[in-house]
Amino acid sequence: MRALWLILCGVLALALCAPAATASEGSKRVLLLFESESNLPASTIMETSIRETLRTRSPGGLIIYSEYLDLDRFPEPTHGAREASFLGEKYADTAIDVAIAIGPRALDFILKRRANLFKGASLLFITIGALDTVGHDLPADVHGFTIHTDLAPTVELALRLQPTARRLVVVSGDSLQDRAWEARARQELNSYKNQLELTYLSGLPMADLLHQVGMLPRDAIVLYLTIYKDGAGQLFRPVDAAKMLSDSSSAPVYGVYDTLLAMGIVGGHMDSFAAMGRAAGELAGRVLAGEHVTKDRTSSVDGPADYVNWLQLQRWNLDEARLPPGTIVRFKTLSPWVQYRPQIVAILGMVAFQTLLLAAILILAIRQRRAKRAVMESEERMALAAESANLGLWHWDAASREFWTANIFGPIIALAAEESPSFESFLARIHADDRPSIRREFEEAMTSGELHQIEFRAIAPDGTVRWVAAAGRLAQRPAGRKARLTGIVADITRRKLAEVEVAEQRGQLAHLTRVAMLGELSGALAHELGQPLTAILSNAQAAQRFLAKETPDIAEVRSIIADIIFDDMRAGEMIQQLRALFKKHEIEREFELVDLNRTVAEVQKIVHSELVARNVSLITHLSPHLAQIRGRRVQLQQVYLNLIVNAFDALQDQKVDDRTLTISTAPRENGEVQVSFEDTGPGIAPEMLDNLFEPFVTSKPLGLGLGLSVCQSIIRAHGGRLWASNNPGEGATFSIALPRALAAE
Amino acid sequence: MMNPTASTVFLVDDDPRVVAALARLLRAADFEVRSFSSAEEFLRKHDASAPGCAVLDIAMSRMNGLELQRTLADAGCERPIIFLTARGDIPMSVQAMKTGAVDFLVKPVSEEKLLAAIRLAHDKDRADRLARAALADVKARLATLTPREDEILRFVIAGFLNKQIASELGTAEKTVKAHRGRVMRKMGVRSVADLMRATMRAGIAPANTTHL
Repeated sequence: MRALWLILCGVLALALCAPAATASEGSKRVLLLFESESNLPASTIMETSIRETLRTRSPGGLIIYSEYLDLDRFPEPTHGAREASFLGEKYADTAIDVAIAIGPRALDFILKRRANLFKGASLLFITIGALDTVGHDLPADVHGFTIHTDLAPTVELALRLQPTARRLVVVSGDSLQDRAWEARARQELNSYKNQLELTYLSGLPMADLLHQVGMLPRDAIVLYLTIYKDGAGQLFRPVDAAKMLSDSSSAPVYGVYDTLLAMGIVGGHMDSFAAMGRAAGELAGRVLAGEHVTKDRTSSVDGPADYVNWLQLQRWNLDEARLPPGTIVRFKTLSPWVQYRPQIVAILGMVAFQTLLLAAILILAIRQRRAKRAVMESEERMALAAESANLGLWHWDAASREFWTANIFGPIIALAAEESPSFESFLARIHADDRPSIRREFEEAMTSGELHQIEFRAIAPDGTVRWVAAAGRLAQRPAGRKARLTGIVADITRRKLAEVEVAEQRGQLAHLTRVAMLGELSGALAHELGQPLTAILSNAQAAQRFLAKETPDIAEVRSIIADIIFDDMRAGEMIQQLRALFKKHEIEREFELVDLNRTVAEVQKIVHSELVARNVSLITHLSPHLAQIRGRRVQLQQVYLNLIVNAFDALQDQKVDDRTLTISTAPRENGEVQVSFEDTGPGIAPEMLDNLFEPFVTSKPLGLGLGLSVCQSIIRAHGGRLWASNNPGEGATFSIALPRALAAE
Repeated sequence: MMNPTASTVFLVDDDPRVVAALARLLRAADFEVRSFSSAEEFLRKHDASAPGCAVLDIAMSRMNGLELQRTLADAGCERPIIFLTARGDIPMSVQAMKTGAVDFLVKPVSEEKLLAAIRLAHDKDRADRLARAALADVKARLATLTPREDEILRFVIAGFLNKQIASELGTAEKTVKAHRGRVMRKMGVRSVADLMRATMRAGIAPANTTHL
């Protein structure tokens, strides 16, 4: 029925418009009727997108008209009538096929005058917000879209970006439309009153408003509705007002129109005006094509979505990651890298490749030159170093048995002069005693890869003995080729002589301290000699008496003589031992095997009467499983004696019952042998413990302070340690640890 | 006058070979010898009443010679002592002599010096013993006197005449004379001079003479 009416209308309209139609044969006419003025951005956007859509859908002979009612600036009722009569006259001879009302008041304008104005035209519309401004009872043949301007989703978006926000400031103007917006906002945002502090800045003069939003805390949310007119009566385009507002605001501003996105708002939940225009254009195209359209009035093509301005996110330092999924981000500045990535990669790749090529060529050239120079310099340096360090160089090839030498090596052992020096001719220059061990060392080095420093004597061309040190290492050869041992040799004669001199001085010092110590023990020594001499003399004189008798007792005399011989030997032994101690030794090269328990016994003999005279009890704990050590017996005796004499001095002021010296020997876990001298004296003063072994440190009024220092150097020369500690109870303990002699020795 | 066999030489030295040699020499010189290898052994075994001297080594382990001397003195043994030492320290010899040693000989000691010292010591021992015996006799006699006789003895050795004694004691001169005769008999002396010598040796004090 309705369709029939429509067709009827259409036929009628065509009939009525026939004269006009003739002017542009076959052309369709579409009228866009805006309620606003012509330069409102929203209107411009929608007009452009409707026109473009229509042109692509209906390419042939489509005429589009635009009319602007300018109702915001001319809200008085007479203006509507004026426009109606103007448009009626203007389009009297122009048949319009489709009229699209943009804005609720434009729709209302046409609906009221449909009988007279644009007769026969199909009516389509785009409204903003709810339809309540035009009422619900739309005729069934009127179709269109409503642009959603829901505030709550916009606030939700703002809260996502500003989770700490506690304040919501809603800004609107003083025009009728502004006030209608405010009323809607108060209703829609009522549910946030518990969550947020809600403030409505409505109908303020622009200056006041800008001042107030400039004072807001950074984390407030400003929701901008519209300002067509401010409290002072000044008119604004809402987009301009939005720009002013967001420029002044100290808190992010949100809005619900996509035209505002370019005007400084952060974003909002909104429909795209362009999308709306496209949808309306599509619908108009379908109507023009004669399609029967039903119930499209509230659906939109893309649907409302969250929109944000990326630049504003940067301005307010809001985290893009907090945006809800599906948010459309506008004005995002893309880096050149994002935009021209493949090109950049290609160019950079080329440049890099060329650079590498050039660099490689350069490096190769430099390296080659450097290598050449390095070889020369290395040779020069080597020669210079070897010469100035008095070093000789050698290598010994296992395959050819050739023994090559260079530099000073010749002068030292005069090999260079020979025509084809061999290892054998090298050995021939070495002191006969050292030869076997040198041959062994070199041959072992061939397999072990390293010749550790060895010292040996070589016979110089002039016949003098030179001390020589050699060290070397197996040179790396390619697999399968025989090894070559390379190394250095140095003349260390001077060092060796110095070592001998030092050893000699050490020996002299040891001797001096030994003699001094024996001086201290002279009383005891006199006793030890006095005893056997007493026995000898008494026995001899007794024998004289026996022999003077008329009948001498020969048996008695014989036993007397036996006793005399025994005691004489006893005295002789003691003298022998003392002589060894008094004697100024030559530097002893070789150590002998020494049983440290026996040394205790020997020393005990010497100090026996001193112990008695000083009322010192000597206790010995001698380990029966004591390994022998390698050392110099006399020097070890000296150390023992020194420690015992020190103990005597320490015990001197103790009570007679409390003068005990304990000498213990024991094997240590690490294979060393330990001898300890533990006294019950007053102990060592803490301040002396640290430098006890330094020379000239003494606690004795008349002491030289050399005894312990000499002991220390003797024990060190034996590869051992000498240390002192105070006992937990009373007194001090001096301990010696010496390495045991190896079983093979 | 000197009879070597009557006295014993007590030898103490911790070196057994020295003791044996010295003992052999002394025996060859006809001395009676007893040997000890330590001060302790000597103290344990030796007979203090036997006449003779002691020859002590100073440097003996545990108790040395000087300590042994002191111990003997503390025990009332007055045996003469000769010290032997191999070390001849002057301070030690001074101490030894101060405490009454007869001699201080340095080892090895010659026969002459040793025998001379021993003879000297034996003479001293003998003299000491005689003196001690005499004193003991006087003390025993004194013990037999009655209190009255003891009283009169003290007046007599203070040089009082019988008449003076009688007046001091308020008794008859005849009674004093009779007591005096008994004192002289009990003390075994013939003259007042003998009595005075004996009582002096025994340390008897004369009567207080302040009354005169």
